Amino acid sequence: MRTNETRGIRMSHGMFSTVRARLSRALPALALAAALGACSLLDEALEVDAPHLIDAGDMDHPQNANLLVTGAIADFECALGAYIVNSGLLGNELRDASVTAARFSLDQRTIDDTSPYGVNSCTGNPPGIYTPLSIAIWTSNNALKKLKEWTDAQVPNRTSLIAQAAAYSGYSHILMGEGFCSAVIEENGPEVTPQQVFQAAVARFDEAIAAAQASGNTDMYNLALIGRARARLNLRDLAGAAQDARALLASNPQYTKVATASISDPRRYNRIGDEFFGGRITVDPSYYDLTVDGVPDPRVRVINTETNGHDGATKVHIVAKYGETRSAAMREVPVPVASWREAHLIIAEAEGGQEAVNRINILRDHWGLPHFAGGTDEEIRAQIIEERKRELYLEGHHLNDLRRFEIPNTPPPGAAYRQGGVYGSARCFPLPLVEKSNNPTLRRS
Amino acid sequence: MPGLRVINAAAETSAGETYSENVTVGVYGQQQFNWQDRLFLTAALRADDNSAFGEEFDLVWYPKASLAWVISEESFWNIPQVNALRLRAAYGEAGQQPGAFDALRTFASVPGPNDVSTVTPSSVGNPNLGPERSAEIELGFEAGLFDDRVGVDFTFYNQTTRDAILLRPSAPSTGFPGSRYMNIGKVQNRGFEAMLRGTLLSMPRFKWDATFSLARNDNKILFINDEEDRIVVSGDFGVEHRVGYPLGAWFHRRVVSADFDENGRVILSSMMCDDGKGGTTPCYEGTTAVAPYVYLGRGEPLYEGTISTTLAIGERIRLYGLMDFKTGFKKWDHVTRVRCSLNNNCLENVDPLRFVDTAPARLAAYQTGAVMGAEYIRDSKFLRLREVSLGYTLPTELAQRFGASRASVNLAARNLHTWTPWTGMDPEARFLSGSRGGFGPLEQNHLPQLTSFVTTINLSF
Repeated sequence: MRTNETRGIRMSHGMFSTVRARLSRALPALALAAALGACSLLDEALEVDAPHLIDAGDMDHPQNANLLVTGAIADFECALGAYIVNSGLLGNELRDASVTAARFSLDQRTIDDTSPYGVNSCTGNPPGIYTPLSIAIWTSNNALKKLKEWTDAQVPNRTSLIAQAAAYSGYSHILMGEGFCSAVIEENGPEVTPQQVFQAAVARFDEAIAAAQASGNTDMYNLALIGRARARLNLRDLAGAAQDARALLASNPQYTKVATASISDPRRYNRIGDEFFGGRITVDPSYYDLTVDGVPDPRVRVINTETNGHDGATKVHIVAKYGETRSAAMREVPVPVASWREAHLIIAEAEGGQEAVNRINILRDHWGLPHFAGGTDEEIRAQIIEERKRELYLEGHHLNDLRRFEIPNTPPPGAAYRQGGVYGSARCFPLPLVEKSNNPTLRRS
Repeated sequence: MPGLRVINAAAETSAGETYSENVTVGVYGQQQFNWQDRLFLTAALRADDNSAFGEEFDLVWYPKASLAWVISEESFWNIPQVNALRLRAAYGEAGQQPGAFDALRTFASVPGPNDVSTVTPSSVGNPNLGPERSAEIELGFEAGLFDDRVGVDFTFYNQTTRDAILLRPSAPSTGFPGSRYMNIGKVQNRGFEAMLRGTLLSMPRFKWDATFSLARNDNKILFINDEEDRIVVSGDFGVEHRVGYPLGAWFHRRVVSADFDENGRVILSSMMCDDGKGGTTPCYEGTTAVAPYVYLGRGEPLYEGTISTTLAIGERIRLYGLMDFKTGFKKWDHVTRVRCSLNNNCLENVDPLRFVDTAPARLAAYQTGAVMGAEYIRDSKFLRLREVSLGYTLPTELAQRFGASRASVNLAARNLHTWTPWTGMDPEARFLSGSRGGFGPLEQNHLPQLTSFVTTINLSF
């Protein structure tokens, strides 16, 4: 009746069977058993093949340096897509259109530390973010560590690879800091504040910029510059943020870095496109029909697909930047990681005043929109927030802007939620229970 | 080793591979003594090493000793009603190997930028993983009474498992997803197995036999390593390993009382939850659930058993009945959760005012999603009429007409009725996977076991 199976000697529960006496010489067997412990040949006998697995030890090889770095980038790209979906739902950019129970707490802003964002993979339903971002941080840091241990003779383009690993580590840190109320960014390390996460991000970007300059890797130089500007903005180092943003625009005034996407594998999907295609999300109504002085805003061109979402009731609205029609092709659209547009907005926010007006209008010119005339400092600040909301829609920024600028949630906490219950007030992702209860440092504290 | 050599990493990715090899090297020695066919002593020792052990783990030894005494064979035995009695006692150690590759830290091949194969962390592994070790004491007896018309078997056992292999989620900050197997604690299994069988009626053309069996297994976690008192297996479903409680027990927030507005909507600030100490505590602070997870029950049955009976009429007709039962465990009713707290198509959702006074805790739980999970963790005990059958053995001459030496017909009805308080489809349905880690039985979209009627014709040639 017991369910726990055991090997070794099984206990007899005995029936009436008669055990006949059988004398055997046990000593030789026992002597052999004793010899087993000392016999080093046993180790050889116990070696087994696992050709379908990749032993972590095999990755610790200079010839796999490139593999470690591309692995870190792949982990980041998958985590980024998941982050945009999660932060979009929590941060009023998206609404849930599914009937999947586990998703509602995001949209409803009632997440707690056991919600799926903490444990699901980046391809889950809903996609998770804490584990994917933790993996992205670990893999980029691990690649960075190995690259520093190896030599230029062992690894071609080692310094350039260091720049890549450090830059993507920096971005993984940024998303962790912007989305989470607190986080752990070292293996089994302590709980740290978002500010500490941003400081770690700056350190990674410093490293990336130095390595990119040394190796002539302009792409990583530019990527790290915007990344550091973003991190510094979060740290309220406004001068440093503006300086990095200007340096990026000086280096490449049209620079854009994307996370590539394809339909080859769910990990490679544009996660936002995949969610739209699956009808699990729809654009939040606050983004419908946005205009600038009566001119439709092309940055947030929302399309009513006139098709029902996963719940069979919600009309799925998609945004043109990720596809003109609700189709599988949305999974292949690249996702912006960083861009010159963001650099202008960073300068606008950091410097304010007429410089902010000028930067806003550079972007307005790009999109063929009427100019912003400016106004009081408060009006300019409000316009910067609005420009960020539109310019960076579904690029993983808005949740952090809600936090930074203390923008009230809509609908407000306590309002009835369409699936039952009421809206909550969560504005950041709590450190998941899976980290708190399995990290020895946190268990002790 | 440079490069990727697994099939999954090939340019053509619609492929896969799996391979499993496990090696055990062991020796075993046993000595048995028999004194006048009434006293039996056995002693044994076994040593095992296994490829699934972690690199840091070495050989493991398993001793055993048992003693059996057929006391009814002794000259001093003078209880004529007990015609046979055998007493037994045993001590033994046993082990359970980890899975073939549970100790190994691995990466997985995945498509990377531009769809070129790369790697991502897969399994965190555990270099210190060793076998689960259990030591068990057994005491028991088998007795035959009234010339074996009544038989009684009874076994009491007390098993302590140390270095229990439990699946523990990895802290994501380790960079590896999922869980790892760890030798993590000490677990006690204590219980008994009893069987009573008897011939209730024995006449020349009529015989009625009945058997009743009952087993109890109470398991409890005695100790968890690393100065912990709990491991959360699944936070959302509330499955935990906690010291002093059964393995994989249910813990969740339980609503005790709540007030509602005039439309039957719960007022969050009024909700009171079980504080786990015999009192209550607010379920919410603002819109954040803050009540503690309290113990709700075990996920595995405490008792299970069977009742069977056979009625033989003459030499040809045989009537058989079997009932079985399990009790002392709970399951997560996920169908109710989805219907009532997510899709809102339960009566409580459409007419809440009807339940404001009669079932306020349930109504409040339904209106607040799954965070008040105790509402869905429900008693799953059952008694099932498993089978009723009628067998008839045809006369030999009739069988011979079909060229058979023997022929019989059996009519059986299975799963005729289940008595249970379970609110889902089937108290036996179990869905075990994912973050529940094999613990915490859950029912979701299961078809119940069907009532079936089976006719069987057996011909022997």
